[in-house]
Amino acid sequence: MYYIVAKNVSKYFSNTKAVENISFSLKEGERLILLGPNGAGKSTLLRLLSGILRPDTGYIEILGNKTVPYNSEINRYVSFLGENYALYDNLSVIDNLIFFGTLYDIEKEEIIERAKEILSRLDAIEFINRKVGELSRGTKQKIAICRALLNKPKVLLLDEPTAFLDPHATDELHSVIEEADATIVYATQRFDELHKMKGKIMLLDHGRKKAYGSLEQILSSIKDINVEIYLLNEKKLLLRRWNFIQKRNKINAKLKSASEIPELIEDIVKEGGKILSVSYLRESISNEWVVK
Amino acid sequence: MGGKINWNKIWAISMKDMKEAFSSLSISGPMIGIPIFFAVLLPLFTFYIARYAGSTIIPQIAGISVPQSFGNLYFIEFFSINILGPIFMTMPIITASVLAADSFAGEKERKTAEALLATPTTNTELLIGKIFASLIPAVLLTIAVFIIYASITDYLSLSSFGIAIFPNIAWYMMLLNSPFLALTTIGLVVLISTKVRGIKEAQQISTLLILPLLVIPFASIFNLAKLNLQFFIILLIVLLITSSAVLYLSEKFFDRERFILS
Repeated sequence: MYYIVAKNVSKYFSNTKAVENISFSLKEGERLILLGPNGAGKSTLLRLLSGILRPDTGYIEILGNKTVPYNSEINRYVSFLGENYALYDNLSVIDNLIFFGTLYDIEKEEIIERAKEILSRLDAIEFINRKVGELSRGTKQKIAICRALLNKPKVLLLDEPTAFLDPHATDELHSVIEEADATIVYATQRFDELHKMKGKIMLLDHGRKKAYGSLEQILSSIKDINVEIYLLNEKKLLLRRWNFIQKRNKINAKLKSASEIPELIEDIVKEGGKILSVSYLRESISNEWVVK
Repeated sequence: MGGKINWNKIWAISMKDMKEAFSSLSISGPMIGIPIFFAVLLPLFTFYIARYAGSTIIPQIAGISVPQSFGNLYFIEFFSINILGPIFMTMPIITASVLAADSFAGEKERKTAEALLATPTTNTELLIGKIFASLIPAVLLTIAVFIIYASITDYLSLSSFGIAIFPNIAWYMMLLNSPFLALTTIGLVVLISTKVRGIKEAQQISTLLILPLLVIPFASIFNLAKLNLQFFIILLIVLLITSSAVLYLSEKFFDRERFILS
């Protein structure tokens, strides 16, 4: 049985094609990574899969049921973590989790037990009684991840869940997700995350599927790419072979192909740079490039 | 509003909204400030006028000849019902519009709407939960204001004239109308929440409902309307029909996608 089926799905906002003719299917436990820069259509596709948006053409089936008209029963087994942490700032962490857990028909005691378990894994248990509004953005993201895992979802839709997380928390999140035993659609613009997630990758740009396949296939299919690299330290780099500009701990590099990314990372590490993230960058910054 | 209804979810939504609203100073401030103004300052103001100017003002503004001995008492009664009554009836509208705007448009403004709409809640559960979250505090606050207002006015009129003004049939009828005023306001907020981006827009549009009520004091001063039992029964019927229609339309036209995208 397919847990997710998307068939010729398109979504338009006025004259903008947010998602165009996307098809894929996932069986139980399979993972799909949506890779693309900002505005590629990743978030819209996830919102379509969650059922809160309707496709203009095509259809989506989750656990064998069409998402249109909205069927709240399907969403009992689905979790969606959008690009915003979407928690109530004036409520405590545990009140937020009890609220969302109740909407998934989970008993209060079970919510508390499960919340403690997940928050401990994510090093956020100490914040359980704090107001969400008092927490850092990274901690809020951990709480949001906990919320998404409360109902032990069969289908997990995650939109850049590691944004705002430090490397340790990112690794912990990946291991929690791996154990979630769910069919996952995971949107990211970070290349450094690709090797951490098992599964097929779909490259999206301007709402269209540009490539679909393994990590190697995807990397070699992306030509003339701009990447944004954040370092944990502010090491001044030489990187003689590469076209790049560096501002403090941020590096923007222009590559002939995404398959050059591992080499670039290797060179950065050789010069003492510690990588925090490597992201897909759409914006052209050609006028800033130092031509070598 | 058909389909299976899970009351646990409805209660969870209501409680969450109420907790959230009353933990925010921008919501709880007006919620407490406005009732204090209505309940305490207005009777004191009324009494002051009644005590020192009532018998001369009433004949002038209402064209009614008032026996001198009852002038002050008649004024306080006239003013409490005909002038302050309609103002009092704006209470459920103001409180309901503040709370409902925060409840519906606030979800969009705080970017929590997507997470909420992606949960296994039906539109009916969502709407009932949010309607209760605005209706319950609005009605309770209105009753509380009424009790405080009536107590202060009665204390003043008893100590000065030896007669208690409240409770009377007009104020009972006003109280009876209050939930329907609140429901009409909430329904309107739900309807417009798919069109507006934020709390302020939703509030501004919904508080337009106050305007017709503010015409009533003038109508009564110029003897164009009498706030008697018949008037309030007609008002109640109109509000019953209006609130039912607005709530029906708000449920019928509530659309998750439009709510998110507006």
